[in-house]
Amino acid sequence: MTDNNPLAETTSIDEEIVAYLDGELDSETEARIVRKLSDDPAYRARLSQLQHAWDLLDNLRGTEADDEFAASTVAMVAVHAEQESKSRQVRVVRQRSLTGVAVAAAVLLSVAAGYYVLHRRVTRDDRNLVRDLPVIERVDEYRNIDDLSFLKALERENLFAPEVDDET
Amino acid sequence: MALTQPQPLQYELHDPDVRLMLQVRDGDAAAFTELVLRYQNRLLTVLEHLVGNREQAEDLAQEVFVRVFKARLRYEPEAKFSTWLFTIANNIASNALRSRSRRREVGVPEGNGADSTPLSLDQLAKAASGAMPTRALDKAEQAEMVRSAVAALSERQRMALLLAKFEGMSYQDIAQTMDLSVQAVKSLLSRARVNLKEILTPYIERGIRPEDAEVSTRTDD
Repeated sequence: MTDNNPLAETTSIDEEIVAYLDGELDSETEARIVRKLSDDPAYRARLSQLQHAWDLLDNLRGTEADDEFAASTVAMVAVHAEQESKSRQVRVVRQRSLTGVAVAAAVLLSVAAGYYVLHRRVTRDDRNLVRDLPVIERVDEYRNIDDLSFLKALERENLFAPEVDDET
Repeated sequence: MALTQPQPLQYELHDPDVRLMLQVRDGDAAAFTELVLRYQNRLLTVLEHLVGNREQAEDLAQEVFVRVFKARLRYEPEAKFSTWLFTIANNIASNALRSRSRRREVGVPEGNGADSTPLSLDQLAKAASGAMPTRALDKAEQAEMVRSAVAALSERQRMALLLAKFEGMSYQDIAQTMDLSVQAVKSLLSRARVNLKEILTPYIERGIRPEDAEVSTRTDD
């Protein structure tokens, strides 16, 4: 694949050499590189150049943190932790308040709903009682009558009318 | 090369810093201080060479530690602690470098990083021009030359190089830190070394300041 592309071939060789220098090759590839190094002076020279460039990085100094760095970092984190704690407290208080309001609203709603349902039921029962009052008042008399058609016949003859009018 | 993926418990068993971080997660402030003390120099070293500015490196390092603290409650040991820490550092530094380059695009002058502002490639070439008297470089100049060469690399090449050099990270760890494939890291490090070699060739060959700094860095990452 790399035979027709000199740049790709060089890149591939460089990758191989660098991986060798970094100890990242498997033993089989490493053995092949070692053989190539002993056979090919140009390959050896390339490795030497890359190794030398790498060795020059030893000139880069490491950075030493000053005495204040750790202390100021920890202080900064402490401030952050305090803010975090405060905002958590605010969140908890707000959550509690919201929960309280929600519970109160639920209780109020339940009471209102209960009252409404009860009220509706009582009203309906009362309405029924009022409607049935004339029957209730004469329930003993009605018990003596077995036949409903007889009552309807009486009604047609308007026999009950004066009595009802008297009452009203 | 068959790699077995270590389990969280293994990280906890084998990495003392993972154990410290778990203590931080459980609310141990002293463990956090210990982590800062253990990693401050390592982090500052990588960040300073990455951004080329001591003051900014300190700000970024502190930001990394604050981020570590913020993430403590969600922390699960899924990698070595150093890998996790440098992943955060890489993200923070990348963002900082991106916004710095945006500032440069809109013409905001760059704050001078005291003693650690790297030379540009143009400056390097100028410094290496034939007009300068040929002489051996002293230790400080040599360090400056190398630092400038590193600064001339692309951001990703630089990060990979610094993690390999200063942290001694394996390709696998660098890949995890930079969210790349192992093959991508292999290419990145190879290009970084080749670019370094090309920049530093005059010095490598003669031990003197390069007279002809024809540098063509391959930044194809």
